[in-house]
Amino acid sequence: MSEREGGRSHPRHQLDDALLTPVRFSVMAALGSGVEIDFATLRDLIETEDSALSKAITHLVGVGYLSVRKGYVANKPRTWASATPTGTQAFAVHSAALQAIVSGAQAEPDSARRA
Amino acid sequence: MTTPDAPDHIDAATASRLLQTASTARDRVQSEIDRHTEARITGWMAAAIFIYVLTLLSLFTAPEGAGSVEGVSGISYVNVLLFPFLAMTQLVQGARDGLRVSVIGSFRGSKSVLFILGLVPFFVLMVLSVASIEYPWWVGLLAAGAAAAPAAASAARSARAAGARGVPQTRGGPLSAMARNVTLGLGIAFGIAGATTPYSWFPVVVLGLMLGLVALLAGYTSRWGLPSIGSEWGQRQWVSFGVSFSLLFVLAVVTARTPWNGPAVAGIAALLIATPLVASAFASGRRR
Repeated sequence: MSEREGGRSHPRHQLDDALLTPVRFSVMAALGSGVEIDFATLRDLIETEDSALSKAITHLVGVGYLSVRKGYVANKPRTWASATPTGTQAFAVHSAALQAIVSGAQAEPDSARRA
Repeated sequence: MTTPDAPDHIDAATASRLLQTASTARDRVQSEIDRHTEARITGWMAAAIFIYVLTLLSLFTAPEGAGSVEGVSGISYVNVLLFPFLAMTQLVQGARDGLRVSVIGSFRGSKSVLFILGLVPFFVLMVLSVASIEYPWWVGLLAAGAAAAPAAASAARSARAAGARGVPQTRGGPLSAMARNVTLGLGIAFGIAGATTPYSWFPVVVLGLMLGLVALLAGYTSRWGLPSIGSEWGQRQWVSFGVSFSLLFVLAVVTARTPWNGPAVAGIAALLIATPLVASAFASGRRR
């Protein structure tokens, strides 16, 4: 049994630093289902501001979780973002850890009652 | 990328709230996907792949000396087809770019294997053609169908997912000067390709057109790139492109397999090929 499995088994140890801010987490949630979304649409969908979204995307591109493409639509510049396979995997692990934290908290009162 | 010093501040309530946020974000994204347009785009791609593969096979099996140009085999006309096909893939990318949310990765994983498997019959028939082994005409139809099947299945899935949802309406408006000029240029280029088919020096013309296309492909992220132009096209431009595209392919087959394509026929065909796209350059497009 590894140290992580044995000594550090709490699900919070599986949480991903890069996804700990709400905006980054929401960006990955929105892009995690095999879609490509342009900057303005993504901003509206996750209800944030340009600067916060820009920072989040720059960070996620830096860690290899997002890829960004630039181009033009109807003569106007646009930027599209999509999740990389690494990013999708990292988001799945992070979500599973969050789910485990929720499940763990629900299990604790049950075991207390049994004791 | 697991944190070595995990934060202690994510308690169950926070985790639950974050998971709910993720679920809401996913639902919003799903509701923004325009399945009708996805289905139409992918369906037209499937049709284009079918026509392209069928025409290629038809050119490869053209009997030696049966064409309109003495000493030129059917294979020599392949570049005539490559030019509009590559242009189409870039224009279609533009149509996808115009969507607020577009589905990607249609051909990842197991789907990419199916896509490659779909091309196997086509490659087998190409090899048979090169080895001068004949096969029934309907086998070519089946091979073209197999090549187009993955895209057609993807279009059918999108159409089924669209269900009874209404088709989103888009406002019409004139094309920008850039889109108009590139659309005009494409129409004229298709016309020139068609007009030169009966001459032995037509590969030189097609090479010039291909170089022009390479320049367009190199600038695909620019304002004048084909994706940008495709994003402005409306129904009128797409239908015109389909007509020009199909006529050019028919002309290539006629030239390779029959003696009918003389200068007069090619001139009339070139006009028929160029006119729809040229006229559509002045019609309303899709504005956002």
